[in-house]
Amino acid sequence: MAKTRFISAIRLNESNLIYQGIIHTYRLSLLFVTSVRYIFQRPVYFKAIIDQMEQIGVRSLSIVLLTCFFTGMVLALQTGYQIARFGAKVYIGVVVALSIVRELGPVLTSLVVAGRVGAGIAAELGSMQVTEQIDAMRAMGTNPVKKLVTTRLIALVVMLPILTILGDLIGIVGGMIISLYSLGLDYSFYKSSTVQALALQDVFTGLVKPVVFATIIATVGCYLGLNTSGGTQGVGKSTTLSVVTSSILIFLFDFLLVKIFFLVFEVQ
Amino acid sequence: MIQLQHIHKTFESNYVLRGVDLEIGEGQTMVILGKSGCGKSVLLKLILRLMNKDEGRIIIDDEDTTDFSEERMVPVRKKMGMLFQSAALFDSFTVADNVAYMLHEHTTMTPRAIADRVAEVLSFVELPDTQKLMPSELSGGMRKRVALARALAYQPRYLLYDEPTTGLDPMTAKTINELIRNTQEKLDVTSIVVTHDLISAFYVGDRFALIRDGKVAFQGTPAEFKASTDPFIVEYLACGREYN
Repeated sequence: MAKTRFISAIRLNESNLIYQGIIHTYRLSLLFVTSVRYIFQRPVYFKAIIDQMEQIGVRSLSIVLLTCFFTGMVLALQTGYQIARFGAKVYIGVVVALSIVRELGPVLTSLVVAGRVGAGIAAELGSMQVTEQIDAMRAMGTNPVKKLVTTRLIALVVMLPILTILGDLIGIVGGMIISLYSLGLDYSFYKSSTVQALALQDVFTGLVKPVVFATIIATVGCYLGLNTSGGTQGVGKSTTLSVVTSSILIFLFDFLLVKIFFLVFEVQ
Repeated sequence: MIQLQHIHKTFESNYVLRGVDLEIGEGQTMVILGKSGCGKSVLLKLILRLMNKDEGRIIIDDEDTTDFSEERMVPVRKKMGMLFQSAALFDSFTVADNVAYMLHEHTTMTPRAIADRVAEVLSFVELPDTQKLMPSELSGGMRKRVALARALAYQPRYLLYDEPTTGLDPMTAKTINELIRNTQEKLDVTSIVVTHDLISAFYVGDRFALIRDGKVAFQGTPAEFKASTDPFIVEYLACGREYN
């Protein structure tokens, strides 16, 4: 009885933001669970996964590298001049390496990919939805979640950590260039301080994050794409909403993951 | 045989179907007529379970699909081909890939055999040598014909047409009508055609059903439809004649 009253109360407030939030979170989670379940079921769309890996990973490489390279340089420049005043310039390698590997590498790479790939997924699936291509796929006996969502999820979960590693490396190189040519540090000193600063758990936490962020980008992009309505205007809305939602969730989960890592590893 | 029993469907506050009962016999071409928004296209989507009904039963080949899951609907859907109003071709695929879609998905045919089958159905819809074209390079009529080829490639037992001639010039519409008739005669499929186009309806239909106020208001042969004294049907036919 109480349950019925609760459901009725919710139904009366379908335009309520909290109600909408609960419903969308539930459906988003359901889509994620369903698409993960399909990973282990036949048929496996190998070609589609490889195509998506190319679209998502290879084609995002230049923008990710560029972003991380300049971020590493700016980080070294900003912190270098500040800490030089306290005679702590020698720690610049440590600051750049830890900042990039633990935080900036995963987050910036994911934000760039959310903007480029997440928006692309929402737009592509949204267009397919409004032009009845998703219905056509179902009518021909194909499960669109398995064909479209699971393939993108796998591709992103594989490619985002790889992009992050490459982004981390190029970010550290960017910081090194500034440290050597602008702050006057020695190459071998910068290299050894960077290597010594990084513990295995830093690399591990820096790789867990992109896996979580990849699931966010893929699931949000696909969910909004598949639920697009209202023609081309609806596609535009889904695309924008995909980038905004993914970015907010990336920041939220970044905070939660850092809290968890601090508790688990007692990171210094 | 497809049987629709007491089908109800509501979209929020819009009560579209209010107990539709309809039977489409083996080898028949059933034309479904009615005003815009009366739920004709919805019926096709309900048969394929692309949307869920609120009440009623849909029986296909003596199998009640009412409680079928998405997985259990797959074999049912494989027996059917649907020509969507917008053609719904995959715009990132070539014509050949569109037509071969179900063959790639559900058969173990060799690439050569698939290519041969694609060429065969494209010839049937009078679009030979268009395999390499992209959907964006096709006219409206060509898109519909490729969509028909895609629907035919897997040799369906049932063909569902949603407004097959809407938006086409009279000559292209005539070509599509002839293709629908040829398909029925040569391939012996059971068809359901949803249309507003009375010329098309009389050309392809063996039986007519008219949806009005969410129910089947008329069911019979084209001759019976023409001879009906029901004021709504008389007006419907008169409006059709006015514009044709």
